[in-house]
Amino acid sequence: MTVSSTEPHLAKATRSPLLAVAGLAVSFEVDGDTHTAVHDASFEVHAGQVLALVGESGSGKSVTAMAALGLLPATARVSGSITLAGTELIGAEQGLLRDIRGGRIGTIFQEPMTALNPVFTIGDQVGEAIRAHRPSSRSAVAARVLELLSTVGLDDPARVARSYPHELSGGQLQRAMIAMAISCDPVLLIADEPTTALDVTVQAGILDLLRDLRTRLDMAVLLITHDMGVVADVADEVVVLRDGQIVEQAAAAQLFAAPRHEYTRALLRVVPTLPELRLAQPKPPETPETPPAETSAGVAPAVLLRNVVVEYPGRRRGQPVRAVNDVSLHIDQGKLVALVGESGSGKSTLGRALAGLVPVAAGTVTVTGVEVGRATRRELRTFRSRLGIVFQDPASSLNPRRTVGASIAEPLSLHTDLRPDAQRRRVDELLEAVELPTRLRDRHPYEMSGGQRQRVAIARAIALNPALLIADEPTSALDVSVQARILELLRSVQRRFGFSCLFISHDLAVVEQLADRVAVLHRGRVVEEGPATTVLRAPRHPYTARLLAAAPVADPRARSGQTSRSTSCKRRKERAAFRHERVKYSPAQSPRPERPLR
Amino acid sequence: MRLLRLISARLFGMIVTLLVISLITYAVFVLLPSDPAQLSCGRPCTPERLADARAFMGYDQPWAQQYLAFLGGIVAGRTFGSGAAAVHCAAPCFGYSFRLNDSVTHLILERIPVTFSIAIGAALLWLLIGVAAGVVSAVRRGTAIDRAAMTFSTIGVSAPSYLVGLLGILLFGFTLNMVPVNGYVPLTEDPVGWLWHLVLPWCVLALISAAVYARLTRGQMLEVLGEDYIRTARAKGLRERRVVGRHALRNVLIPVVTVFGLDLGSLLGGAVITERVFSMPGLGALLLDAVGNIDLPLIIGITLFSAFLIILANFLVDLVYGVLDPRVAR
Amino acid sequence: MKRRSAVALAVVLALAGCNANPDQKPAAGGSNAGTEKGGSLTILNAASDINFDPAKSQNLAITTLGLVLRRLTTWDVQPGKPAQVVPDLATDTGKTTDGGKTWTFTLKDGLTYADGAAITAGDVKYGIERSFAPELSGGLGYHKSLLVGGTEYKGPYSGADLASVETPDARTIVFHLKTAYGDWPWIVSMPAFAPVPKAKDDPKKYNQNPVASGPYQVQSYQQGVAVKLTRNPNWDAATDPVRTAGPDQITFQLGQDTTVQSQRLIADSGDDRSAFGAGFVAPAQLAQIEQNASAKQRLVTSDAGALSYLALNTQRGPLKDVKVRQAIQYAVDKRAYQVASGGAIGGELASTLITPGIAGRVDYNLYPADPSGDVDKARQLLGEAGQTSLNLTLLSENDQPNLAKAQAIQQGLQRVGITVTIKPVDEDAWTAEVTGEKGDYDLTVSSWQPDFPSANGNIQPLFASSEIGRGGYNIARYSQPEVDTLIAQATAETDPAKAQALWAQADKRILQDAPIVPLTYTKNSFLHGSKVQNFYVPSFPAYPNYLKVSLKQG
Repeated sequence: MTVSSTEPHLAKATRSPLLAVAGLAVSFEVDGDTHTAVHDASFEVHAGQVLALVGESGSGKSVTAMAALGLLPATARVSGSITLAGTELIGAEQGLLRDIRGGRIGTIFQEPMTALNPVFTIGDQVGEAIRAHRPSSRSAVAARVLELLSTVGLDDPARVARSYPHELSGGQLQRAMIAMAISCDPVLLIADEPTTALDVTVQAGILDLLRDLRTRLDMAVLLITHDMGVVADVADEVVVLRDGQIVEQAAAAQLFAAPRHEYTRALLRVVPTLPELRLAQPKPPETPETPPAETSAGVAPAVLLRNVVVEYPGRRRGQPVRAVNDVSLHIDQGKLVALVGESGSGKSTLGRALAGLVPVAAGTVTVTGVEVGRATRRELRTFRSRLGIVFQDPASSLNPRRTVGASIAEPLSLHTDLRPDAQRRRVDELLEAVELPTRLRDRHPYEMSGGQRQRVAIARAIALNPALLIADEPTSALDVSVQARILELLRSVQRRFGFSCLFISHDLAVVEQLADRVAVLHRGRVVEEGPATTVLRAPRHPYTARLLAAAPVADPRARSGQTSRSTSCKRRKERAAFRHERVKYSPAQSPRPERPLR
Repeated sequence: MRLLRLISARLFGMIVTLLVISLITYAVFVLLPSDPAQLSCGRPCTPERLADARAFMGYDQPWAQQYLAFLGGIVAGRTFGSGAAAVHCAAPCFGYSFRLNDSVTHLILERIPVTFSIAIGAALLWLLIGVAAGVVSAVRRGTAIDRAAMTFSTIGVSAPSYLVGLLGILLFGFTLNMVPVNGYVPLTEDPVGWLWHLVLPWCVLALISAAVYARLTRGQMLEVLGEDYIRTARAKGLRERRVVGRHALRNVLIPVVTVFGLDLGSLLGGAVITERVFSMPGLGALLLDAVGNIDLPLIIGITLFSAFLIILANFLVDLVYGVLDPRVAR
Repeated sequence: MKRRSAVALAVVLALAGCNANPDQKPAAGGSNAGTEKGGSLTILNAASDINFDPAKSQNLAITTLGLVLRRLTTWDVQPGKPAQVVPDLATDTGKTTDGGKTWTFTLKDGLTYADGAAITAGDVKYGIERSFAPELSGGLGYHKSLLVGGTEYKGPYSGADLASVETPDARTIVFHLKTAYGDWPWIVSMPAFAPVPKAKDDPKKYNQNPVASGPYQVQSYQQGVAVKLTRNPNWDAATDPVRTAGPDQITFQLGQDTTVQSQRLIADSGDDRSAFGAGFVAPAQLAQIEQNASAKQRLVTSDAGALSYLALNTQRGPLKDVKVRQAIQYAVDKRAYQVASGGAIGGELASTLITPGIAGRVDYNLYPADPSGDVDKARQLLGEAGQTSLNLTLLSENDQPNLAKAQAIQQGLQRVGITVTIKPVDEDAWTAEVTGEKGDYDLTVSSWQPDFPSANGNIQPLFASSEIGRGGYNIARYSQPEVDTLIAQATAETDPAKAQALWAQADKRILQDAPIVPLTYTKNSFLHGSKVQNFYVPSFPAYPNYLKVSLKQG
């Protein structure tokens, strides 16, 4: 067990606590029922220390943090005590709480995309945080905003300040959030899942920044996360929560070395881990090998991409942006090929091109013998019936107004002439295949958990016995333990039905568990492609190596060997995420109530 | 430059849409069983007189040709009949009402100030009342204020404007004798009279529509108040007033403005019932009159004009969107 | 003449066959007093437009146009008396020397327009000529097919004149008709017989600003808003026996909602005390007025007027048999129909074709029965015709009042084993169907008010075989040579007394064949303000006489 010399916690452990939570209990009154979210939680956070609150969704970790800020909904009953440097926060009057919020406690939230107001510029929102606590002149605020933005490692702070949230990448936004959180020199930073929504390399950068700030500004950090990898990366102390109760509380190193509670052990187990890296010296990049037109067995591959280019119209006229650039790839029948890369690498676009949802500018896409770009309407229809797609967010891909059964049966009624009773039998069969009880048939998506919904989405995707399944980040919206089970399911279903699969993911650990082959996409190009074990254990391209290095590892011992990447990642210029789909509210989508006659 | 291109592309789309609408309107009315010539044939109507009237009005042509003549009139104007009694309808001629002896274009233009006065005033009033009530209801959700506002808005939504108008006239016009009960005074002639005559129609329209906006605003506000960025704003230590009034309201207004634009667009085409009740000579009254007398050219003209307003409103809403929501700008 | 006088008066949104509170007694004739001069009268109008062009107007002689435009003759309408044709511009109601084919009128001496110019026979001729122009079609055009050469004539704008109207001197006008026509004195009371000075004729503008010959002239015209009339200083009361010209000013408020109109008149405040409504009072308001003593006093209900009837298509299947048609005369429940049309205030039971208020009417009942019908008699007649059960289609307009009436008929006939299927269509389709060539219906309900108060107007348009199809209103499709001959005889008769006797004969003769079932003589109710005097509504036409209305002064 090695502890980094930069970690201050041993030296300062004797100070009086900055934040002390004692006997905290939170319950919610819902329709007369009392639901207890946190039971009798007690822990302390000291200045300069990172305390991680760990647990799965619903374990009460965010509720604890919100209780400290006094931001729980009115239905919450809070008891116990939370003091910040001796000041009681529970039941404190609004004026005091307002001074604390943003003034003494800075907060970062999970989804920087939604946590920032889409209609105001970054500069405006950061400046507002400053003015809320320190009334000062317009120019002073503007200068402070720029200073803060560069403090958090944003290049060109002036441009960032002028930008609206949708114009920046997730990493940039999270940095901006941090800038906002530290704008008034808080003594405590609450970071609620600060990296969950981000790509791995970006995630690493943000964690570095948090560590760095903690040291430089001598802040305490209350880190809320479900990701043991992240915990291992930055935490000094760990509090494990389950169903609102603290099950284990220990120093990070100790916890990872010898977890005492069964639940902690289970949490550590379900985290997908990467194989040990044989990361000697990354070889210079090679031109990606062109895949053979046919496999050795002489069977045509299920999917064959040749020199595919996909372009989007650019911001300015006449300069299309190449989202996918000269990609060649094949998927053999019954195999699972993983496409990995960060946001904007073009992996989702490639998936869409494969499904025939975006036109290909050059090259050919052949799926089950049909050339997608040249297919007749009828061929396309047949082709679509042989294609299943599972999206990242099952909540938005399932029609909320239809029952699960109806959603699954939809492709059946579109592409087959099965009678209703036959359809019903098939739906039951599919529900069984995805390990859901058939009684869920008549439920609506909102009555189900995220994992169940994703199972439904899978059932729908395989309803027509597809030749090819495209799974676009199917687990990234789910809790880790759920994630693992969905991956297992996907693999078992694939074995059972024998379809080929393109698995799109940014999560290397997941890929390792699942894929036969891996293709790494970087800025629209395949930089490396090969068998999963080879690519993930002995990457040849430096980008692959960097991706692997950036992935958080749920083991502080492994972390100590990864010192080199923090600096490289921090300097890496974060590219603005490529945004093809602009948000557009067409009036038709807006709510339109019944009009009275005038 | 980009904006210019956007506008020109949209204008082209608008023209195409209007052409399609005009074609459909034309076809629908021409295919109806009623014969507009019959109405201006007089009594007794002999087949010969009917044929004469039909020829003069241009209804003896195949309808496709009538339609082309209609389109031609928009560009170049039209002349009906010949000799000393010939009627000329100057470009842009959207038809000629033989019943009223006037070009449809002129008739519509004459009515615009009335309808626009009613519509714009009422729209601003209901936007103000509706949004304010919606915001208060959402923020004070579940309280007596919320319940009162929502009950009131349920009544407003379901109240027929004719009835509300009539009750308004009876109460404020006759019983309390506070406001004039009918007629329109041009703004240019008598601004006070203009305002005074419009107060009641505005209130009636605002009452029934504010209800819709209150419900819409409340729903949107509740949704937005659940957004992450509201939590962020609160976590920054902002006052609730600022959280609601700035962070939430700006986002709430986006869908509200859409609905508002379209509502205003369709209301500018004439508030048929309200204009009738208050005897306001606006487009709605004109349309009602045209329909009652099967005045085809006028019906087609007003239909097209209303369609134009709605399309225009759509377009403007999209532009305003760009201002309100940076995500759609540029 | 047309079925909907409401349309003729441009009282749009007419509640044709308006109904009322069954218990209410008609106010006796309205308020009568000596004419006081002065004041500003307001007339509330549902229509948004008044067309003052005499060629295009279908106005009755006693309403709006009559205030501004004089014609060769006009109507003298008095409470309780049949309408009379009286001289207006002319010195008499016309002279004929050849049994009704040639008519001569002489203008009174010293007649002038509002601008002081003399009214000449040439102006009258020009006014008639311009009514033939297709550009100005839409008015009452009975003269068009009667005058020699009228069918071919296309109006003065192409340069031609109509030779059959002669003006031997500035005060004499002679008409040459194709056939003898005894009611010609009535025809020349129509708007087209108002003088139009050629120099002032702008066909595009004349509808808003005609050259006045009557006691009032158009001062301002705002389409959809109001029309204001002021006194014509050059009108000479001595030349005009029918117009009393009481108010100094008359304002037509246009586009007034009928319900709001009623409410204003019930409230009777301010200027509304000097106002009356041009439209019928709706049934809902009648009930309210019943509760209000002041308003009740100011409600005027006409005597029984226009005829509403059930037409039996005499060219269809079993209805060809006169016995079947006579059976239906007994089978119909007139009481139920009356209730469906608003009760006693909506109309009185009818038995004749010529309506009350028309000179020469003889009251009789060929099919006497209880108001709710005589089921036994009907069955007996059906039996004689060899019919036990019948299936008939009733074409009805699809609005609620009309459907209610259709159902009243349906239930009545059901009692004698006649199954009626109601076929609802909208107003235009109804008009097209009943006036078209095919006549694909067995029964239909209609009502009729003539355009001029002669029995001719009751009979000829509805029962002459020339009026079947082609836009005509012989919707029973009744063709009886004997009746056609009678009609021709009566039409040609220039002695009013003899003509009236012939029409009465035709009336009975037609009903012997039972092509229609007379149902009710409808009544209309109107409301006026408390200062309005001399406001009365005769049985024909069942509209207020604008020419005599005056305002109480002081």
